[in-house]
Amino acid sequence: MNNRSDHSAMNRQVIAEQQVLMRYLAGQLSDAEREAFEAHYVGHPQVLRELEVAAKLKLGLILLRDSGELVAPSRRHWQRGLAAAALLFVIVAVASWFATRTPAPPLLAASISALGESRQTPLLPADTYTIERTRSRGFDASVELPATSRTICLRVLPESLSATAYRLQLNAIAADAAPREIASVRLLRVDADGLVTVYASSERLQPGTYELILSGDSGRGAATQAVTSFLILIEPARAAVSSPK
Amino acid sequence: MLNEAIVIALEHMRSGRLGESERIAGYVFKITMNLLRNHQRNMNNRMDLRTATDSLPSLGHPDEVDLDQQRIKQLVRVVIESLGTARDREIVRRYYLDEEQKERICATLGVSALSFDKLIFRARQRLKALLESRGFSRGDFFCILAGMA
Repeated sequence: MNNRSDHSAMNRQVIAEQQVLMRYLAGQLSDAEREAFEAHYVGHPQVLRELEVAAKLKLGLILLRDSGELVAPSRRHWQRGLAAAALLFVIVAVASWFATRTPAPPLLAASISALGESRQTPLLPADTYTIERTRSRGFDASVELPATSRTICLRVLPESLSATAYRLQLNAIAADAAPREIASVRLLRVDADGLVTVYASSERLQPGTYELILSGDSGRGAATQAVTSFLILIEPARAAVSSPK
Repeated sequence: MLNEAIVIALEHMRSGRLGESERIAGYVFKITMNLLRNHQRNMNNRMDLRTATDSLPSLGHPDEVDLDQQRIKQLVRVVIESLGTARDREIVRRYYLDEEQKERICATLGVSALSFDKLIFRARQRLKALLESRGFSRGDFFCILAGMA
């Protein structure tokens, strides 16, 4: 990335893969990379927000270190057992992204019928998952893909019910940077039980890590206030991962 | 530095160089980072411009900046303490504080790229949620620049 075309080459994937956020804050980008990134975040408030949080995390660590509250642990040799399998998983997930480029039915929709509008045969429903924010270290929910193409019902619990309508955005997470939006649905209403329901097409989902962002949606333009984000693990169908005999 | 950045951004906006007004936050940030970078270069090149900090007792940060920094420090402490293992804390520390490359951290600690990404993402998300719940807005961001200068 060292010429004028860098400005158009800077995107979320590049930012993620090349750890641009941290390298920018550390002053490790080349002049061309820095210019490209600055041109990018000026026009992308979400990237600026991610940069802001990363900078605050860095500042907090500096302050903790300076006050002697951050003790560097002694270096240990950690087990490396799962590295190869996890790396393979990453390769599969990334490759899967590139496999979903042909025009396709929507990934998310407010109803099963809307999800199957462009299909000759409607998708059959699969499992329903309730997604709520957890305090655990891991994912807020794990969703197992069905063995065949179906609709997956996601029922999401807002942390507050202050909005009359919601926007649900699905981001794919590849690496350390702003997540990449792959689908969104607007003007979703809250069900009687306080949950927001959306339907996902399993044929458009690939195993990997995703983020769901639930925002209040006024229906006027794109500006919405972030309400809750959920970290989701999409797992492959069990039949697909079992080894053949 | 921030004042200067805002003035420059406003001048650019009035002269039509900025384009959409929604870009002003990013634009001010970009200009401020450039000013900060130039300032740091000057300090590195001109040792005579440096002054011993203990000779500047009356030039400390404004109270508000100090307070914001203490709040950020407290929230980051919560995030760090919420990480499950010493290894997780070491990863975050080496990546954000020591500015080590991801590949090197993964190689030396035997961590997969996916686990690394998840940990870093989760730490940042936690801080983001804490900041939002405590009412931190983008305006507070500029106390960071004071902390890094």
